[in-house]
Amino acid sequence: MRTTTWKDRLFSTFNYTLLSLLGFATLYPFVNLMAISLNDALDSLRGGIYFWPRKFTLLNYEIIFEQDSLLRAAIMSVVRTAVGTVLGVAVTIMIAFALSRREFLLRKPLNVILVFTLFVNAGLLPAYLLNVNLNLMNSFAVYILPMLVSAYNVIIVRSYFEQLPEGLTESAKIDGATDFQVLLRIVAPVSLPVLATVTLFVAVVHWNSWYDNYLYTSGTPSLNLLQFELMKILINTVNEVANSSGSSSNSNALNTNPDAIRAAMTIIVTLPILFVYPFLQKYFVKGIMVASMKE
Amino acid sequence: MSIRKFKQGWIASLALIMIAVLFVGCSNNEGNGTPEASAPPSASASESASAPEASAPDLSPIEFSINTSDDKLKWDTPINKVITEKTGVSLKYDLTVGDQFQRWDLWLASKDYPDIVVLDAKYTLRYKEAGAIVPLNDLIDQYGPNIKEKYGEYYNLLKDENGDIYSLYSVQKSKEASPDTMANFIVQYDVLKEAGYPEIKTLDQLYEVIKAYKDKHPQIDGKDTIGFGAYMAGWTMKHAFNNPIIFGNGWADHGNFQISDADDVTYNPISEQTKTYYQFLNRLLNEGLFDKEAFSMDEKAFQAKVAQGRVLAAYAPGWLVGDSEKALRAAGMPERAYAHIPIYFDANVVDHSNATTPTSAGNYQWNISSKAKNPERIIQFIDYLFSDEAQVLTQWGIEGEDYTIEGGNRTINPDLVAKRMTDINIDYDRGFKSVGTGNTYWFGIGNGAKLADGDYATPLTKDVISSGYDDMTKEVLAKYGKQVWADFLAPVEYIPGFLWQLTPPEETKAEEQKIDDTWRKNIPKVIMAKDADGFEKAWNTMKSEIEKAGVEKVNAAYTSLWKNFSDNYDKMLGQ
Amino acid sequence: MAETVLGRETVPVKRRGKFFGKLAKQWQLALMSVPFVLIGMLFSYGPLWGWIMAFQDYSIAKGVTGSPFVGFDNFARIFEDDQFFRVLRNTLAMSLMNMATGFVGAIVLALLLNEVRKTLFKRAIQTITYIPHFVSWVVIANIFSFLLSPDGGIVNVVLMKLNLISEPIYFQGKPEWFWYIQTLANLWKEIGWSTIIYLAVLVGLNPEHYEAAEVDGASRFQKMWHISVPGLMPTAILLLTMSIGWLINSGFESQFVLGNDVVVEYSDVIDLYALRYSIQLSDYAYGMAINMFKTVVSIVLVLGVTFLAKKTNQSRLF
Repeated sequence: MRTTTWKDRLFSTFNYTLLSLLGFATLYPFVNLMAISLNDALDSLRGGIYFWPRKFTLLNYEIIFEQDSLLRAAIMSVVRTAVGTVLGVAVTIMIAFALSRREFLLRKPLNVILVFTLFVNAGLLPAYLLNVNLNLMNSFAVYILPMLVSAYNVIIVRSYFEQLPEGLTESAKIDGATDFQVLLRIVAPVSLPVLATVTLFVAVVHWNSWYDNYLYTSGTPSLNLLQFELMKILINTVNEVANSSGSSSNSNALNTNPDAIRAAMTIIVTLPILFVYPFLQKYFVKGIMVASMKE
Repeated sequence: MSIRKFKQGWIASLALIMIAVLFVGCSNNEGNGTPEASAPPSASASESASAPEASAPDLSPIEFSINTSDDKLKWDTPINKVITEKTGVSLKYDLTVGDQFQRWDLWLASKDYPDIVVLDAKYTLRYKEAGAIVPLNDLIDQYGPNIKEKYGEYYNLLKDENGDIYSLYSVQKSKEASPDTMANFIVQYDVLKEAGYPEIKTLDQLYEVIKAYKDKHPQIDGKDTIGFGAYMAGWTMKHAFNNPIIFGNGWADHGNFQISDADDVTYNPISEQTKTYYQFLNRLLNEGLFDKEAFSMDEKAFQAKVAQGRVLAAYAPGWLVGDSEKALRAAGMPERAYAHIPIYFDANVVDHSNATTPTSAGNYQWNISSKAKNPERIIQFIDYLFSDEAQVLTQWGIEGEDYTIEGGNRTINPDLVAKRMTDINIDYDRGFKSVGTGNTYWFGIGNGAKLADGDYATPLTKDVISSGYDDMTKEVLAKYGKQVWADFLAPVEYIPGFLWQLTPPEETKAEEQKIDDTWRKNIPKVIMAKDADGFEKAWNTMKSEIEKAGVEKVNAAYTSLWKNFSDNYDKMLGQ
Repeated sequence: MAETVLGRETVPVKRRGKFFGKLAKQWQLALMSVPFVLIGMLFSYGPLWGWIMAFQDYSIAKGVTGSPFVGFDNFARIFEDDQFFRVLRNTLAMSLMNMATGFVGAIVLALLLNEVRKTLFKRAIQTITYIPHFVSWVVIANIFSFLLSPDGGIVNVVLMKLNLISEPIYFQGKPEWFWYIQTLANLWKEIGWSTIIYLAVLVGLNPEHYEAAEVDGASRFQKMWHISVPGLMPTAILLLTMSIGWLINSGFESQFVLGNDVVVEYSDVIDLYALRYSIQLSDYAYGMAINMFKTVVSIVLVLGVTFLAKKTNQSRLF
């Protein structure tokens, strides 16, 4: 179609090389963790594990997977992530849409209120007491409500909505569409890339959360999340190492250590997220097509 | 992000608590030198133990909640089943893994706590002031004959300055050193072997052997030999930069403080002895014998170097190097494991460091919250745990299953010993573990203590410990004519308490933090000084900065705290 | 901005009626705001009663109602502590460095990825670069120590082999280098993750612009410079504005695990300071005072930047 100049070729070579190097550098911690998680823990203690295990073992994973509560916790994590993401994204889109409309009378005050939530903070104690007084202790709702709206995400979505051509919504309004219809049928479909991004952001926060589990719902085992169960295994290992190394006996009761468990844990919780992203990537392309069709 | 941020602090604080408890165990679980406390005429103890059970036999099932940081505790075990049979009580464990202090604060703020709240001394005071826990005097008078019997002459030590008892914790009745303790200087077996197994008593002697070894073997296993290891980046740094001074001078371990014969408390890191030790480290560093990156290494990095077999000596408690030693043995390098021996500043030091106290106050203490219904059932339950019957049950297990009587003496079942070597969960599964109070589970009275029947209260003996040693360890010990590492320790001495067992003064906590920051910041500068002048200058800077940060005020606060305690102590025992 | 709200409240009855009449017509937009107004505000502003503690000699046992008031004593303590200015300096320095490198790095990476024609390669690199975001700081710090160690660390080994140095450098023992090490580590950890949003914006740009430019014979750089970069700017400025508000919130995890006592004069930050002097000592009042100070600084910064952005007619946060 067009001739590629030497400049273009030079740029491409440079670009691919640079990105490959960056890819290598950022992949390394994961490869290293993978190797450590698959290596005998006592052997790892001696250092020198870089790309692949030296004394291969699945024991670190076995220790994690022999917890019978793990499957139930994984299901709870998926449920929490799903519910939290659906509700969170829905609320984010709605408020972002309302705030992106120039004619909305409450736009200014709500914007100020929204932006300030990014910066005001009173620490843990008052937040804890609020949740206690709202009777959220040991309830599923404590996973969802406190982090329902992230101003950061709202601002990203709002600004994307604001950049859409005015005509897009105007014409629909003239055709008699309600605001909800405009949002669902016109604005949301052309904003898929940014919505996919925000979905990822919300989902990751929910998936990685364990601190609210620890603080508010640790009295109800059925609400325990995968991350919290894994944290407990890690902490047990810390305890056990402390307990078992008191005397210089040859006891081989403990075959793992916190580093190995942490490595295996990281792999276990990161893999699902890595699989989610490529799935979302397809919306990045779709977004363009819809946008170009609409223009 | 913010959630991930918490993760490390969380683990660190937990580990800190765990290690603090363990460390207490290390320095504190030998017996004491006092006459066996109020030993009642034989057998009457167990009779009186069963008496209140008979007179108040409310054995209806009842459940109490109790907080624990140990996720593995469970109630459904053979030993706990017997406890429930005898008392009707079962416990529900509320898990507080992580930053327990923060959790205790949150509970207090929201007035929502378990029936039995296990707290340290500082928080016990806070809970007491908030009216969140109840005084136990009357309950113990009515339902606690075994508690009184076991505490004996030390009973009054449970009382606060108003004569009220809020907390229960175990009493130490052992007169012998626990066979699993050991001194904290470590020297590699191979270094000792090459030097012909000399007696190493002083830092100078230690210097000679590691220097000679490093000159001969500049590398071990392809990596640079490290003469003396240390670890500064992390909460364990006090083990490397304060405790050697305490133990090297043969003092009882009062943390970062020295206590003079006149009961004056002073901050140890600016003492002349500390200067002497830092000069020793400075000399090691300048001669290439000290680990050059020790200041940015945490204990994990140190453990890794130890596990590579190239650290010749260090000050490191057994729990800190235990795993690394296992790794060395597993890698076929048993000669790189360590002798755990006491080393002193000079040959004239008299060792008083093997000190112990009559109670495990200052660790975890059991309190009854004002929310608890039927507090008398809790006291009955705890009282049962103090009885001889329950001491045997909780420390030895169930007769026929965990131990047998041979020749009139309790003997641990060899199966249990073997299982403990291979099954990390066995003590949880049997029910030997509980929310501990310091170094013991279930209010045990100490390794080496005896019950009214004349037999040992716990099964831990020298033979049990030495049966776990590898051949190399036995060989090295034999060269010195010892059976276990505990044999190297000085005779057990009895002291009223350790400074860290007391509730620290509230009014100087910010100063203490600042002093601690100043100290840490200056250690590398002092030890990395290039020459004697530089050292002197860095030392004086550190000293004056710490003085400026309010060390006098802190010393005064601790001195008055300690004097009050000592006065009270004598009074309480005489009361 | 708050005056706007007040202004609405105090308008004469007649106009207020008109206002509500108009608002009633926008009931759908109002309805869309309800979840945020009810729940978002409750959980963000509800706990702010805790700020009272900053003016008290607060003790948990007595609570806010029982603790005595001490005026601005807690704030005075902050500014009387000579350590505080050091941690403030470190916090702002590292935040600025992280912000600048993160901002430029993420945009450059997004632009470079956008130029990749091979979809599979593009997606693979995209996914790989965001992995470190999920790896905890402890692990990252371990890897950095391993790289930088003077005792057999790779960087030193390479420099020695190249005869650039005669003796291993103790990188982690050089106080003045800490900011750079932390910035590098942070860039490495977060660059991929911060790129995601820019990529989303890039694919959302109208392809007709590129096609038109191509017809005009624009080179790759020209297209990048004249279409992609301006397309990213509104989002970039917005994110930058928010980061400026967060300059005082540097977090503490990276500084905690990468730092040590040799470099503490350069690695100590506000959040670590608060951890030591408030949380560890259960001094909630002091921590609350630090929190309020941080909030005020954030709001002043963000209002200042918004004011400037308005003048230059860039995208606004409000």
